[in-house]
Amino acid sequence: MRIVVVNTSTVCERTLGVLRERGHTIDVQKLDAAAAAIRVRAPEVVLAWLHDGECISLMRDVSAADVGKTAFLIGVLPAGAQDRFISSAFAAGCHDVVRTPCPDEELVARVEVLERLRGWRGVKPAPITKPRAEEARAWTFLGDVVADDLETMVGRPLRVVRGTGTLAETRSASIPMVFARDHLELAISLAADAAACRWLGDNLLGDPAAGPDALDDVLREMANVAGGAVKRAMLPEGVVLSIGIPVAGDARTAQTLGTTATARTWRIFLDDGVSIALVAETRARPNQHVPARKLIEGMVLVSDVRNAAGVLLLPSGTRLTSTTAEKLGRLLDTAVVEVSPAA
Amino acid sequence: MPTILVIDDSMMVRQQVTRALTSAGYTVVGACDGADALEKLDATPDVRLAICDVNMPRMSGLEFLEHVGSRLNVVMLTTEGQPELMARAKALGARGWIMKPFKPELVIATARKLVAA
Repeated sequence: MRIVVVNTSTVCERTLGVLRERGHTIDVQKLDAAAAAIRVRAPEVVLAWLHDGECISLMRDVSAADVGKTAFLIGVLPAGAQDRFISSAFAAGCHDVVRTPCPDEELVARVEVLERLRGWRGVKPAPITKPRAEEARAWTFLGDVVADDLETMVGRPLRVVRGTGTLAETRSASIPMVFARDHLELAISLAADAAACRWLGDNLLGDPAAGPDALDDVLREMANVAGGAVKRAMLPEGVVLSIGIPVAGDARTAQTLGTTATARTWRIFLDDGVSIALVAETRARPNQHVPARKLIEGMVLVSDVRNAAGVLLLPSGTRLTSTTAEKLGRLLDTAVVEVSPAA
Repeated sequence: MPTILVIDDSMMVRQQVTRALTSAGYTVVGACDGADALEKLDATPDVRLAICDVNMPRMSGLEFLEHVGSRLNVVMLTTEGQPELMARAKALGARGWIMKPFKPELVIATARKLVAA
């Protein structure tokens, strides 16, 4: 079997030797290169040495990198790992964990369990399709999910109706929520017209004439709360979102919300005739500035990449392969490169 | 009355938490992120408790926790609810985790419990 070993410290060479003797192909990777290696090599087993909370996020990255969900992920935990750490490892994507020191025969048995299961079932397990945010059942009732949390925030029951009609709102705030390492992000936006702004100022700030900065702050925090509610609602369906920092938008931004094909809209009534608009939509993730050594296969260069002497290394529009990503990382070291996310 | 540091990049949240805590008799100092909070702590050494958001610009709540460790009672107040984040905060010395949107009475009860302890 192809095994990628994610090495966070000193991996016991003797143990790896035992696995090699049994015919397995071992590929030891450092932390920062592990996700890229898994994406490229599609191993059947990943053995990751996990020491602390940081390593749990590593396991989440490793799990996300295994796009086809075909790898069996085994976390190797320190001897003193407590139950909560083990639960976190499973929640982060581990299929199995072992505590060190682990006898070689036990580790071999756990690594080879996948082969035994395949033999037992007689078929290779089909890859599990990565669930998408807009395919989740929760996607259809996000209006109620968000309103439930906003009710606690504003201290009164809120009524929700589907659709918003044409938006004439003057202020808005959006929170980007990234779905693992997808090239799409889910944006949850709230928009308020003048009447809603007065209501929010009066009820949340004690000032119906609150200024634009204060109102932007209120809408950003409401978007933040809405993002948290959406994240919790989608988690049981396997859609793992990470929340970004909410940003405020002007009237033009507010009125163009919900124009994408994926958008769903709701109107949340704060009071009789006073409402805010809620828009959920998936959109392309904006370009990112990535240190050259963190480039990965699939990313597309936004502009020409040149070395310090100005020599063109790769033109804009190039989709990186694992080789070109690795070479750029070596040649440019700490330079930052603008890329559009891996598709 | 004891002083409580409220750290959140949202002015509205700082205002709401401050309103709740001052109604219960506490003195409140506000900070807009972790870096600001460290400065406020230097200037106000008698702070007994910090109520701290997680996602903030400049310095996050967890980075703030790394700086203060268990020297100060810190309760996280956030929309985040990932078990691994909570475990990390606890390992760094956080004494509690309150989910947003919060009820003012829960913040007051938490303050009473930790400040009296």
